[in-house]
Amino acid sequence: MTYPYGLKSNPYPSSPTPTEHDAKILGGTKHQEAKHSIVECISELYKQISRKNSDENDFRLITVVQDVGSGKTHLALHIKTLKTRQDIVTAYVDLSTISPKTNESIYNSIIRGFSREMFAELRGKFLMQICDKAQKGDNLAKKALGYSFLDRLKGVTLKQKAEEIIYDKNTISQDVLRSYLGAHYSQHEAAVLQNIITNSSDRITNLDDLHGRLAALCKFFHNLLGKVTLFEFDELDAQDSSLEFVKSLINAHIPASVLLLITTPSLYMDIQRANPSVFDRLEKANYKIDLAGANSVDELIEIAIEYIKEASKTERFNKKEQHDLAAKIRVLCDEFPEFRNVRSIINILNHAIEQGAELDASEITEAVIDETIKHTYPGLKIKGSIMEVPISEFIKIKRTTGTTQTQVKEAIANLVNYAHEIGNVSKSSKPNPSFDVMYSDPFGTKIGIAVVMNDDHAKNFETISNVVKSSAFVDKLIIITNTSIPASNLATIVNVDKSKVTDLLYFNNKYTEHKLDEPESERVKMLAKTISVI
Amino acid sequence: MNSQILEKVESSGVCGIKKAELKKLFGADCEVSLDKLVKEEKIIVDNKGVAHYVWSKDNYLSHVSQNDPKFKILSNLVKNLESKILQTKPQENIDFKIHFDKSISEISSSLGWAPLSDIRIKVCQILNITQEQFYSQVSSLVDANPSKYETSTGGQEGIHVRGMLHGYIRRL
Repeated sequence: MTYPYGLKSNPYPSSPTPTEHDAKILGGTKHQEAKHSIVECISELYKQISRKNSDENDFRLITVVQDVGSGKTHLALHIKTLKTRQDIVTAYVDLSTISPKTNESIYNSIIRGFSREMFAELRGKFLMQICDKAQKGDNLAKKALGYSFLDRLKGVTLKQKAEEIIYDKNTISQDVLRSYLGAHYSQHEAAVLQNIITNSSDRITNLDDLHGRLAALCKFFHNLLGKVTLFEFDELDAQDSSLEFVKSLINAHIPASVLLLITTPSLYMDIQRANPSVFDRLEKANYKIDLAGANSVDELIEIAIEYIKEASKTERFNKKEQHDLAAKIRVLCDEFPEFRNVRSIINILNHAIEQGAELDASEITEAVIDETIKHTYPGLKIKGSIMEVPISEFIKIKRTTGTTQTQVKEAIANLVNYAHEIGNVSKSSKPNPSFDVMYSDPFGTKIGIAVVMNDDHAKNFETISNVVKSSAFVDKLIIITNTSIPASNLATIVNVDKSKVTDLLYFNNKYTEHKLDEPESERVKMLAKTISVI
Repeated sequence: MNSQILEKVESSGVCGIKKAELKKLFGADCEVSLDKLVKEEKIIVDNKGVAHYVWSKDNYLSHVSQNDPKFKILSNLVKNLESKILQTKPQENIDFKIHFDKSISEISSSLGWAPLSDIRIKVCQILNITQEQFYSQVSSLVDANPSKYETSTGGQEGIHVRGMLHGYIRRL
């Protein structure tokens, strides 16, 4: 199947929440700025601790507060998947998936939040460290590696023994390892290392255990791998258990670590009410990442384009196509607030790409968007449209509308032509330069229409005043305008809004192409009535 | 039969159609249908001269505004009133925006977010407007200025966007 823009697969994620794979792409100026702020915070901490042992001053707090669907989780996962930065190790934890929030369940989620490769690397480094100590004559280290007299006789080296354990060709004795760790490390450090080396887990009984182990983990990541640990806690809520944990973690000042908390403005306010003490700590965060404008149309366009650009590295998705897609997204977002959100626009574009493939379209055309919306958002209609303008036509009209006044004048003239053809009015064959259209109603009332639709409303006001002076030439004067002016005894003022203009232009296209069908002719009559033509 | 009668009445325009003529066309039984349509306020029956005439609602309005001087005067008075309301409306909008923006900056947290419920209490008190009027104005303001305001979900009251209650706002 060929997808639009020559794509081999659909670049837009289909899941309502991003996965790590989806998060590899990050578009949008605001989101990029937020990413740079987080990376800057980590880099600054990294520089501070790179040539020394870290202490409690080497802890940072970052908050990300923004509405649902604005790309917070995507940003957090993107940071986690950054391959270019080797100086961080990230644990992403979705707090909404932990219930009940006990010390043990939180700790286990944090451990699961790190990548497996990171633990494998740590395990390898640590076993080689035991090997070093064994080579220097540490008997407990030798025992831990299971190095016996027989091994020595066979010519097996300590390094070979360590590698056998690293590559799971040999096991390590739990008891001997425990003795070795007990002799060299603190209680929490020993427990963490025991679990990492033997790929096992044990119970966390209290908050002290939890903090101790997290601190030990961060210490090992820093000392053995030279990395700063980033804890990302998504969906932070105002539940007592969540707040108690967060408060304790902030107070614990875990060395060489960054705590990134993600929540919504609503929950942030709830936290303010529920626990002022935690709120005050959050307010003093080192970095407050503000995704203000994350759902602005420009940002959404940048994000949408980034996905295709990343997927299609060729020249196929050129500037013209980018510009074209941007214009369509802009029209969609302007008309439908439903799409003014990162999650929503990604969702509709995912469906549009699939629909485009089905229709064998080379790009996301207006027709593709129309079909997509029909299937995905069947209830979505153009607001205030009498003509029930299809979304594809609406997008075309919005994108091609140039000098509105000229087009509306033509549409009104054709509307009167149409009313004349169906016998509602009688169009005058003698044009009057003061009016755009002249006709008579069935009772012989002479009616003149003037269209005043400039963007300059002051100029419109002046034009209307001049037109009103010619009202004596007709029995009834209708002024069609986009300027709000008081009603007059000399003229009927008809204010046309954006939806009415779209209706008129849609009618005009249909009329000039002779494509008006029966149900539409009824709607045309209604349109003519609403602007007082009949 | 109702729809046929209604179509005939509508097509008769501002002049209306004699009731007797309708009876000729649709038979004496049409009286029941006419009563029903009158009850549904789809048609109006009134005297014109000595005869009973039938109009559609819109056409009757045009008929009386052309022929009844009292109605003409009343209609003009209503139009004048409408124009006065239209003239005062922009000023009201400006007042609302000023108080609304001021309330956001007074109530908002360090991140700039403020609960719409708190702003509503303040603005409604100052401008003496109802809760419905307040949220209608907020919806228009936010819709017209997407680059100036940002709303967020949650809260107990607010405006509906994408089918979700947005109870928090901030200025960008």
